Amino acid sequence: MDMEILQDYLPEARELLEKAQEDTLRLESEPGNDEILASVFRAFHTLKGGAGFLEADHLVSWTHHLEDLLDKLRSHTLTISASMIDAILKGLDVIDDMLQQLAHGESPAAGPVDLGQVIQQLAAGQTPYLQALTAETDESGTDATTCLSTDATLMASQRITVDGHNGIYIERADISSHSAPGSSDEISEAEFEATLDALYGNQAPGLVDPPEQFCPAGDEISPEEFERMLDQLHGGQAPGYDVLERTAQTQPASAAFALDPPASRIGLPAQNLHAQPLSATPAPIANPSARTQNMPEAADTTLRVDALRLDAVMNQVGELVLLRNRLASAVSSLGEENEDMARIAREVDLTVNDIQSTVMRLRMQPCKRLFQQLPRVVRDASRQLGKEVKLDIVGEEVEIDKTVVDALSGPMTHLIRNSLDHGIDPSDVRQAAGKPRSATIRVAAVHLGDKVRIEVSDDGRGIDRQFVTQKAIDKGVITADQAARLSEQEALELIFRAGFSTKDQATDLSGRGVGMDVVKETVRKLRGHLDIQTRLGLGTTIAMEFPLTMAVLPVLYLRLRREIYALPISSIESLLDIQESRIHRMGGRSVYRVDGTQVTPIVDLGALLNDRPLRLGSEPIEGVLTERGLFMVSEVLGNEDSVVKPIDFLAEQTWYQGATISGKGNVVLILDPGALLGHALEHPSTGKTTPDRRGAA
Amino acid sequence: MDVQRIMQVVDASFAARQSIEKSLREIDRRALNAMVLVKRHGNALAGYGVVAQAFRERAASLKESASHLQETIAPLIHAHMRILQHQRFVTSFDTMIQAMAQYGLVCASLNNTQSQWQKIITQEETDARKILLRLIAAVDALQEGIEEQEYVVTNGRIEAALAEGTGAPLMRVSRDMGEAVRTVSNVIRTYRHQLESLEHESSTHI
Repeated sequence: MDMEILQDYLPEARELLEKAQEDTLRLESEPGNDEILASVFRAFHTLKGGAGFLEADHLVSWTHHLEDLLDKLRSHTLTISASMIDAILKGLDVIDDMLQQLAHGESPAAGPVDLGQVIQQLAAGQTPYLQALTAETDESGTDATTCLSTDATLMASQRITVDGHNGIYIERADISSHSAPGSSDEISEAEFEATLDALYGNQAPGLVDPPEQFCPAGDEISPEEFERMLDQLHGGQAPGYDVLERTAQTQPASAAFALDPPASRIGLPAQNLHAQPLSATPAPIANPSARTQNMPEAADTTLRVDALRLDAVMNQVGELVLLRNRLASAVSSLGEENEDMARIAREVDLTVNDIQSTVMRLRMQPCKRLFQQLPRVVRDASRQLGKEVKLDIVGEEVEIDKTVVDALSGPMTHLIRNSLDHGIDPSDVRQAAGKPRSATIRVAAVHLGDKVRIEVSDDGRGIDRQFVTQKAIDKGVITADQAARLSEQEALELIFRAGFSTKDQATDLSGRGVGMDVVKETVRKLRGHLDIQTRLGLGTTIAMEFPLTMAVLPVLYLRLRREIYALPISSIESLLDIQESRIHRMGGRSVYRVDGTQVTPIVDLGALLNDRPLRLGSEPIEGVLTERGLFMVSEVLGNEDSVVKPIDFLAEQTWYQGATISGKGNVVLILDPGALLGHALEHPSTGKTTPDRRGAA
Repeated sequence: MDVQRIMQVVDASFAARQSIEKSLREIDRRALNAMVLVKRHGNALAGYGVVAQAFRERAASLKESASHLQETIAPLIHAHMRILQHQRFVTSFDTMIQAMAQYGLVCASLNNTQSQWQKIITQEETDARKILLRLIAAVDALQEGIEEQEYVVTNGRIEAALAEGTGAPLMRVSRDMGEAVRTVSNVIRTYRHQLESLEHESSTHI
């Protein structure tokens, strides 16, 4: 295997795969869109070509079958159906697996045989044995594909009508007698199932009634079916159209139809209306090159760069930022007489800022990359659960650091699945509650200053705090004593604890008590902030806020007696002058009354980090108000853009996000406010402040 | 000037120093608050960031000026204490001269010594006055710094008005900054009045 070709092929193949999946999902709502069909076809064609260079035979063969199916769809030889969409999507999953094998340097194994057969049968215009496609949907019985197992077909024929004219007759007929071309005498399992279906219709043992809209009742052919059939046969040249007159002159009817009355018959599955080509003239095919011509010359303006190289550049810029800080610090200590040096330092500062923001932009990617997998997740999970769900995606164009996009893919999927499984009620329950049958999940990305906020919200049943607390006690996540001290918000946040689940038994979608924990941990590692808001009966919103860039972390330096620490500015609300009269004890915790409306937990960093509480009134003390609590420190020194150096040699769970080098050249630990507050809240005695005068608190 | 008056000046200096330090710390905190706010809003508040940075730098400069103030207060108090001490000497020589006069005795060297001390005191008073004027000049510099700071606050208000669309509470931050500056300004004005009265008293001896 040529590794150089492989390195070029893999990222392109993944992009093609993502695009193909997005287009395939669009095909569900726009089955007649030739442009999308052509795009999916091109994706398979390109994937196949690249795989051929790599001698990945199974991938070539797999993409070939899919390409074959798409070729017939784009040429309108076949009409798109739900079972085809399913098959294509599952085929894409197989390609994804194959690409992963390729990425590991292995030659891809053959794809699943049953799915391969389904794709080939669909491409051949046959109704396949659908087990491979319906495996996930059998439980709910709502999958439209189940009704496709019927072999009832629409048969078109040209006969002389009673008034002596040529007429097209369409009737429902059974094609079980029509064997696939090239089939042997031996009956395959698929054919056996098809025959059974033909015999039993929708009443076959073990088959649940499909929804009415997918299974027309009786032999009656609906006007829509008739119209579609006519469209299949004639395209825009159906009898009665003016153009027919002109066409008839240039094109003999026999050539246009290739049907000799009354014997010529075309078998078309009722649901799919798979019309075989009726004329020698091929149906209009979207010109694959047409779209390419309209597209901007991307190759001229873009360059694919190895992410590792970008990371290296980012690290180097990080070092430059640290040097800039040191230079600024050194120059400021020289005094005002060195005006030239001060000016040079300012210019270096501006230049480094520019470089930093340019490199930052290099790593930015649109949230579209993060969101594009979600329609598929919603589609599959909603079918599996038998729920009607609409997905709204907002802010796909919002850009965020590549690290966040890469790391958030799994958690986003989990949040969506969790919302579908736990948040959204079945349609009938929703209807009974006066809500629309179809639930809405909204995924949004918005810019908030130097942050990007990603929200997943649903209009489901909301989260019952008491139920969550009780479950947490039952599962041993917290004790009853701890539960009694929890605020409403803290009770809600129990869902992010490891091992917590409201389900007693795990399913494919949820119940293992790890998913939300992973979400929280991922957000923490990305230096983000997680928030959950819920209203019982109305819905839940889980919001994650991430810094716009992971390259540089603006921090606030603070002094705790003789030691210097840093706090990420993103977590700071404001700096306060601590007043003893505002410190109170509530529920075994020290709290601070910020103003008339805000009371927040207060954490003495002296007690926590020095094992020696700060003494109000005896030593200088300032307060740093964060989103979730107030930290008491000796002095706030100033802010700086820092570069985080990981301290992964420490234990997994620490109170530090990492370390940085200050402008003065000292190594400074960056505190993790969430971890510190979490610890202080769980062990109230450690975060307790010691006022100099007794009784003030 | 008596001990009581000197102690009043010492108390006023201490109180002024405490107030100025506290207020400057408050100004620094306000500036840091503003910078945190700016940082949290990314580039949207870059203009206000410049103002906040200038505000903080001015606050640091005021702190520096305030420390010079402190450097001048100590020699002034020292000079006045020395004057007081020497005035005691002169008084005691005068008492001795008067006591001797009751017995018809005259000591020329004693008169000479008294006159010498009187000259020394005059010189010391001149020096003390120079220190006082230097102190007043330092207070004036501090006041000028405060006025510049007020100018920065005004700029901040303009920037805050321009960036109102971002939703950041910059007007509140600017108002807080303005209040902190006003507090320092009032403390310094009061202190200057006390020093002026001292200067007035000192000048009567010249």
